[in-house]
Amino acid sequence: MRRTISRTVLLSTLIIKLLYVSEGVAEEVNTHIRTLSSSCATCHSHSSINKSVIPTLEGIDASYFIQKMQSYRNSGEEHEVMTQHAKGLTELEIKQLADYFAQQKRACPLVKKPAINLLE
Amino acid sequence: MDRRTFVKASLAGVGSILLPNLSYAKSNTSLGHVVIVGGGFGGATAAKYLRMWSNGRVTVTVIEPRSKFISCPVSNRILSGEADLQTITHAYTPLQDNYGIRFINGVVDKIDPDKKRVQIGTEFISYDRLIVATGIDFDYGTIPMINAEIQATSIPHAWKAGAQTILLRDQLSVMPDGGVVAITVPMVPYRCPPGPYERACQIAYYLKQHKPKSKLIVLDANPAITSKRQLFERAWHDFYRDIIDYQPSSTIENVDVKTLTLASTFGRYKVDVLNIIPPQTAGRLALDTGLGNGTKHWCDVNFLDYQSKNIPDIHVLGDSVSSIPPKSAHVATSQAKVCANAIIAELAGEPVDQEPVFANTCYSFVDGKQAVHVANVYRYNHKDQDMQAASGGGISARHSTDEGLQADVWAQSIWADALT
Repeated sequence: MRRTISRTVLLSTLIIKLLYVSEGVAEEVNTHIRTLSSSCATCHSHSSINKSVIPTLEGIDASYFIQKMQSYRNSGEEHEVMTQHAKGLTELEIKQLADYFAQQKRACPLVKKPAINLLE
Repeated sequence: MDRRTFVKASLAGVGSILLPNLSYAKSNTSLGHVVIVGGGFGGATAAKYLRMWSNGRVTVTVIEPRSKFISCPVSNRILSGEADLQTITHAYTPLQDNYGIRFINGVVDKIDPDKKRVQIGTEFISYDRLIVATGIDFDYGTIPMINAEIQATSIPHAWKAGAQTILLRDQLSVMPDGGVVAITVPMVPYRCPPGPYERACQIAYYLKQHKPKSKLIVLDANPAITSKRQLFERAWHDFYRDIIDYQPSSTIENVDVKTLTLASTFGRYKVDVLNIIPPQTAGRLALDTGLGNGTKHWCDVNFLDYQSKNIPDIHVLGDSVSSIPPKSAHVATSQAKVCANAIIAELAGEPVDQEPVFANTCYSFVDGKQAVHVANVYRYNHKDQDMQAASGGGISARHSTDEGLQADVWAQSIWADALT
């Protein structure tokens, strides 16, 4: 019996830990970068729109993203859309965006419709 | 009790013992009810991101008079036959089904900031936070001979896409070759700065193909083209120099609505098709509620959360806002995301982002396939407490089919972002 209890405690601790971890991740979201990244998503859509013209950014390799943005910043092509955007961002924002996009699986996770009507 | 029910019941019990006050309780604690007046680019985007980023903890109601979303971006292409109404019309159902956003098909008659509720007919809806995203209204003060009914039936503005876009297209299609079309452009600020000049391109493109003896007069109240100037000047020179007659600093002084004769600062014109884009203000509801600034035309907000400077707990988004960034769809959606992020933080008692940054990219088609763009990053400036253009922004070198392809993807992407 004692063994069973300790097992239960262990299991529940594990579950609680897992929940804390997932909660922790949600809470540690850098909402500043999340908001900025969502402004990129206006053109760089998550959905299955022609990605050969404007690529999706979620899941992009972080160092590749940084390298691309640096080359836009340093390019003389001042009339290109991405040169204009890359020059407007700071080095730190580019690094944080790189980390943010690299961690993403899907830019817009769906929120399930509430089972009960929360309104009135 | 059969075995399966027993197991279920036990698991439920285990759950409640193991997980008191943890994630379940937390993620289901309602942060409040946000009511959004207007389901355009700003309102729809705010609704979606409030639900998504709060993990469903913010309840959202959108009140919108139209049953479907009709996009102003791309609507000028209907005038050249390159797009139709169906292309720019989108359902609200994905926002309802995917995010649990409640939509009310109706018009808000009144906002009561003291009781924190809005009135729709005889019904009242209470809010914790209200977002006013009603777009623009028209100011006929300087052109009293024009009114909403005349615009709906004979002299369209077509500046809110839909029935008037189709009316203008149909007027162009029945006009004889050799006819004269006029567009009037109001003083800045107005919705979509490059819009009138893109429209001139699309109408001229149609005339060049189908009615090449016709003329298009652009009467601009501004001293010069207000956006992407060199790009439109080049396109007009390259493609439409025999069609477009551009008259800067031309304010409308009189219009005979029966004969379609108009007098401007420098001339008198008898035309066959007249497209008057009137001077604009913030939405009437916003102004009637007392959200207008000193000019009584636009609304001043705090750019960290888009809360009105006049009335607490009311936020204003999109074209009604007095701001440095242009009144564009991308700016409206970016403002909506900053606003949604801030409202969630405020309702949860967490700090609000003090350094909002966002992008604006806007394309205009100069013919059937080629487009030009303007792109800027805007960054919050603490000293001026406004969003200011970061260095490096600018416009295309010239029109291109590459940018035409990008413009197509831009439109599909922003529709997907705001509405699905």
